[in-house]
Amino acid sequence: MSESVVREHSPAPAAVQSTHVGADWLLVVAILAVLGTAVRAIYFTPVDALQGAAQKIFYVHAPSAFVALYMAFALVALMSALFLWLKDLRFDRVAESSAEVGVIFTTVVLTTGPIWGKAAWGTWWTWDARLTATLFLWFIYVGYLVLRGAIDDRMMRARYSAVLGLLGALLIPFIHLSVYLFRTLHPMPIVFKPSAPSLSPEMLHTFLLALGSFALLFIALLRIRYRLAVARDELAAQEER
Amino acid sequence: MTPHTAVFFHAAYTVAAVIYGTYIVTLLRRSASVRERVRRQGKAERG
Repeated sequence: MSESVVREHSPAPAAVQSTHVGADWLLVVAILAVLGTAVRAIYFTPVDALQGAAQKIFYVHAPSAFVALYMAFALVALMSALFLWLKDLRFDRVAESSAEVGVIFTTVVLTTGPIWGKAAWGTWWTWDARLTATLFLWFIYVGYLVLRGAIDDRMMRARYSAVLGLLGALLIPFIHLSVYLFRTLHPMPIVFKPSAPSLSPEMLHTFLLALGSFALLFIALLRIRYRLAVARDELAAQEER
Repeated sequence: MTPHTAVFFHAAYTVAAVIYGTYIVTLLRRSASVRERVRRQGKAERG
């Protein structure tokens, strides 16, 4: 690919200076929001009559899954498509950053889920459609990050990973619909569904608060990770000179 | 709280805190390290 068609926006030294994250205010706010949500979930939200305290895992598991699927990996797909279209490396940096943060959120989903499953179903894991597809999604984006580390050429790395990032996101609608399409142990949606949410008002408020605070945490981490990607590219450019 | 399932609830919250916490610390350390290398490299280039 000709360099003339690549829109590389090399960060100016001033932009690298702005990568200072010693006291990232957004991250501090996000962490406080997540901690506040945990306190509300533990001490001020009713205990489920059937599942007992284990149901409170919902306030970490479900928001983490929502953020990973519908924010992080959806953003990877969008940014990957924009990169393939416009060849602007800023889109690649956002995709890379979002994929890494999304993998962390999915790791939390895949570890808290089995713990909740053991309490609710009596088994840590079952190979049903939603669980298996989520595990595959995790493998795809771990592979995406490994692939990025294995290619030195900046444009080739961006192009190959954009294709993988876009293809991986095809699993998202499948994961969303899997509980409707297949017989599965995983429960149907209880909040985001056509009818009214099947939660008491206190539980619903705690869930929405958790969703907001985890979304804020994602944005804060994405912001820091994007700045790291900018600084790394600047370092690579300096070393080439 | 139901004692039996409270164990699972505590385990899940602890695991989530460890994963998110470890990533945040690692990310901040990586950022600081790259920033420092950029600063040193820039200083060396300027002479």
